[in-house]
Amino acid sequence: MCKVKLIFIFTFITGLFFTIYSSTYSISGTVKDDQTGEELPYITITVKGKDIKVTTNVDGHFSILDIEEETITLEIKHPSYKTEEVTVDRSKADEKLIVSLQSIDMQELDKMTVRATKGEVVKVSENISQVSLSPSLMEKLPSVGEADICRALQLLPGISGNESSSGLYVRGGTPDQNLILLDGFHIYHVDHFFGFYSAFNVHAIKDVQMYKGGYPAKYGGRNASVVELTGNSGNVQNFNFGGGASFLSADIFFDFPILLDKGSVVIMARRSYTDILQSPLFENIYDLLEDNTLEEGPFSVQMESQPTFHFSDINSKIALRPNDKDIFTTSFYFSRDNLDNSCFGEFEIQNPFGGDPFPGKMSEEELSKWGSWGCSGKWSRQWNKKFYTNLVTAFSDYFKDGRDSMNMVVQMGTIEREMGFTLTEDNNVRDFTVRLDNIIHINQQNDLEIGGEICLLKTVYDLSVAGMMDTTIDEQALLSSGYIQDKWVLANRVTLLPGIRLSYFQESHKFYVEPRASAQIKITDNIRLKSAWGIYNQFINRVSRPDVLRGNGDFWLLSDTDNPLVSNAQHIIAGASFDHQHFLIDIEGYYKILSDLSIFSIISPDIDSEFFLNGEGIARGVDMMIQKKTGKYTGWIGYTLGQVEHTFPGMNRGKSFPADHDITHEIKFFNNFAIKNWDFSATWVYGTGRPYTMPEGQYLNILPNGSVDTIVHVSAMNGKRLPDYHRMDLSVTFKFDIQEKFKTSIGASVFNVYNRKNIWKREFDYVEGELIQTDNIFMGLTPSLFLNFKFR
Amino acid sequence: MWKYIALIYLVFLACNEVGIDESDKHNVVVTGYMYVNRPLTDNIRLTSMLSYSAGETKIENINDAKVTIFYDDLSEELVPQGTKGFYTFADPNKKIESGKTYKIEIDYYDKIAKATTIVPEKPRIASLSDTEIFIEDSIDFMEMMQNLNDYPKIKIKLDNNSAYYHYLLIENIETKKEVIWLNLPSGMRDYIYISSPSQKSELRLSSRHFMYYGKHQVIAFRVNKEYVDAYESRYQSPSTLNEPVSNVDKGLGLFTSFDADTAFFTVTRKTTDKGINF
Repeated sequence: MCKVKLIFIFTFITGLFFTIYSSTYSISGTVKDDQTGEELPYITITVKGKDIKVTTNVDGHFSILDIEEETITLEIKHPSYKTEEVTVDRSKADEKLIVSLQSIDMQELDKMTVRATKGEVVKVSENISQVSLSPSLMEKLPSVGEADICRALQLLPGISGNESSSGLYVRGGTPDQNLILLDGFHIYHVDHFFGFYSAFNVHAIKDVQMYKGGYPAKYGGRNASVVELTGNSGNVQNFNFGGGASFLSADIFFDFPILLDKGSVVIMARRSYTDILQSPLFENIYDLLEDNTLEEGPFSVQMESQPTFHFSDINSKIALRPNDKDIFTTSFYFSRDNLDNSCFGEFEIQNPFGGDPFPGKMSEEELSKWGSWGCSGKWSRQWNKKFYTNLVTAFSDYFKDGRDSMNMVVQMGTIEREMGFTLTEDNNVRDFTVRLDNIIHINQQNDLEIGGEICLLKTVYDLSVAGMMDTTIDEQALLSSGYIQDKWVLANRVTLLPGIRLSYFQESHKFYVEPRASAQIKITDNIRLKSAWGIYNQFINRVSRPDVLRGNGDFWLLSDTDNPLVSNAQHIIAGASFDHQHFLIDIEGYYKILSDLSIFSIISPDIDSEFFLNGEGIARGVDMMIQKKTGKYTGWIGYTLGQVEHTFPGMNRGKSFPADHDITHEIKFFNNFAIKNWDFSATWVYGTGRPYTMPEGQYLNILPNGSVDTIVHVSAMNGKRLPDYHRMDLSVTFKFDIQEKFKTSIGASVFNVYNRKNIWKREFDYVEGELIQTDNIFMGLTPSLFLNFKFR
Repeated sequence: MWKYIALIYLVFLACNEVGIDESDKHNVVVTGYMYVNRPLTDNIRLTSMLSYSAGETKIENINDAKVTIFYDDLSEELVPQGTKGFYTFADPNKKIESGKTYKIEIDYYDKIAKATTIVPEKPRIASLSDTEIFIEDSIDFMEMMQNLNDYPKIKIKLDNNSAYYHYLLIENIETKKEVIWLNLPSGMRDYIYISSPSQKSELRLSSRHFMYYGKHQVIAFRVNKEYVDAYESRYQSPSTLNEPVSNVDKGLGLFTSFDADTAFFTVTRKTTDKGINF
């Protein structure tokens, strides 16, 4: 009997031993900034010696499941932080792991080994078409007065822009086709100062994730790309105060802990002083945009104006971490541009009866303001190691209000004639969104994401001209979407991400099914093949209408069954990357089929006529990037070979034509040399000239009703090209500490160093039998200075 | 590696064909509107396109082109009429026939512009809701425009099961015209209403289409798609510089044909309490 007991006990202990020591375990944790205690999103964590990689979510959280080894070493990398290695064993399975990363201090660069990663501004993700940007390192990039997130993105292959627009043209898409999310709420307007600067304060943003195409089912509502911005959530350990100034604006920030270090608050504000102090930089930019000469009819007027302009933005975020499982954050953003471009002029008008011309005075009151604001509240909860939830409620508002009152007085002998009119144009977009995202870590091979959102969208466009014409387009619709996607790792070599998104759009009364999939195959430790395919729909459109001096003339409208239509894109992407410790070669080819595109065009004077032309398009190209990631010298060369063709039955006789933003070749060259406290940077960008339409002549169009219209004949839509664009910018930054707790940086940038006369737009006028061609030139050589400081 | 990149580049360039026309010089602009059972007089006109590159300053009538019409396996060269660019058959009484296909070829500076039209079948006005309507005098034009629903309307029904396109022309045919509305803008005095092309079987006229008392004719023209396309794109947007859709190959303008049916109605002065005003 005793023997039997012994055998039983032995068997039990042995079983228990094997149960304990042969079973796997899981760990979860959060990656934080060492100095501020902020959670760090999108950090790659690699289990050394194994082909396991995970990425922190937007709250800095990660989980690694089914670990067999007793001890593993985690390698945590991020462009802005020193690479950290953490050893974990089974005993940590019940704890929440906190990994603190030290930010890269430029002054320590020389002490670091050459092998170390020294702060990459840009990091190309292993995921297809995904790039992350480190705003904290962005002051390395040459700029026009302000460090600028959108300008930095424009230095990447496949993303175009121009000096007059912070908008992003991603792989043949237009700026309105980019889904831009800041802490979960939509941003509809991304720039300040007529497009010269992005509306995002670089100091307010912690992380930028850019998806150039083929993005997963989690994101929807736009056709081209996703830009996901995560705002700084503040310091949970210390009070910080800082600021900066440039030729155009000054900014200030505070962040401090609250509730016994369980929360943090950050407040940032930026305002330009262009209305108080008009620097040469401001005047350079304004002169580029301004044209106060009216030359129409039998008189010309030289208008005198002293424009008053300023922009401002505010970012604020409160984060609360009541326990290890929950995070509550609220985020607020406000951005506005104000312009008073009122002007006054005197003129003379020909006397139709002969004799002295009639003198006249003209005054114009032109007031505009535009911008956007939004807020969000987010609750994140880690239910257990396998289940994580984000619940976001968000509100977003875009506004553009313009008022233009013109008054003219003509003295006709003893008679004084006065006439005038007022034009008002307002556009608003509002949306209220509730979004739920869940991540279920099923096992080491499968991460299932499931969620959905309900978004109430409202657009109002109101145009009133002289009290005679009053047009209001007021639309509201509910967009409901759900998605499911699974990141599936096969044999540690192949990663698949199939997913599907289903949306119902109230305005069109239709369901939209958007299947998507991406795949990566790891050929060797350094070489990966990747591909993606997906269907994308867009339910809100920015109608393009050039009007530079009112910020822009563009306005947003909801899609509907009529016009503008719900547009659609199909992305097909394939590529490969060679990712070495010191350098990267990345190449991706893309082919996008665009359908149900709408172009605003009044093609008939009938009241009930259509205001849009509908068509389709194709965007195709190859992006290539070669990046040196380590050492004192870092940088990249980006090259894009691209083509965007549109086909609209009502244009160019139905033949396809290059889209306005079609650029065949683009080269972007970024160089940075860091030594001790100094950072020297240079960028050179080159692009094939943009297409334009050349008028060739004019003719009469006579209809049976007797109407006679003069039509300008063009050889082919966008059949000509402006001269190629190229430009070099330089910058230098010097960092120094006045005291241990008082850090500063000062820098200078020179924009367009060799003063290239790049053409912005080409205009034509037919005067007395001669076609007059006028080229508007972009900014020439423009120096600027900046100063930043931080007190802790 | 570079070999493959070069190969991709070459493949890409091979696909890189964009529909760009060569420069247009000596472009002929055709205004060709042919009506069934009517001679061609004043219905085919050629003008030039003013070329900026050639430094031209004026749109000219073209009177020296070789213009040939093809129909029924026949061809006939048109003869110029006067100096305003009009061309007609040698037999001025020859008329356009319903259902036939007409092709035009214009040889001008060794450039041949071509276009084709198939003459539509005759439409039929099935009925008018009223053949006589009554409108009071002493009514201000703007008051009528603001209260349009209070004034008489006429519905015109067409036999149009196949959803052909039609447009209407409304014209007062009295020799002595008597204005209905007070304060009628001077620009409206020679008003002839011509509607937009429509596929509807029932078209409506409201009082704003009548300026004079007396007998009116309503002509329903059946039109081809080429006319509809040109009509709907007739306004050139400064932003897109779209041109009116043309069916003329190697030229501009429109060559099309119409057939019509006519009906009549009368607008009569309404007797008021005050009696008939003269």
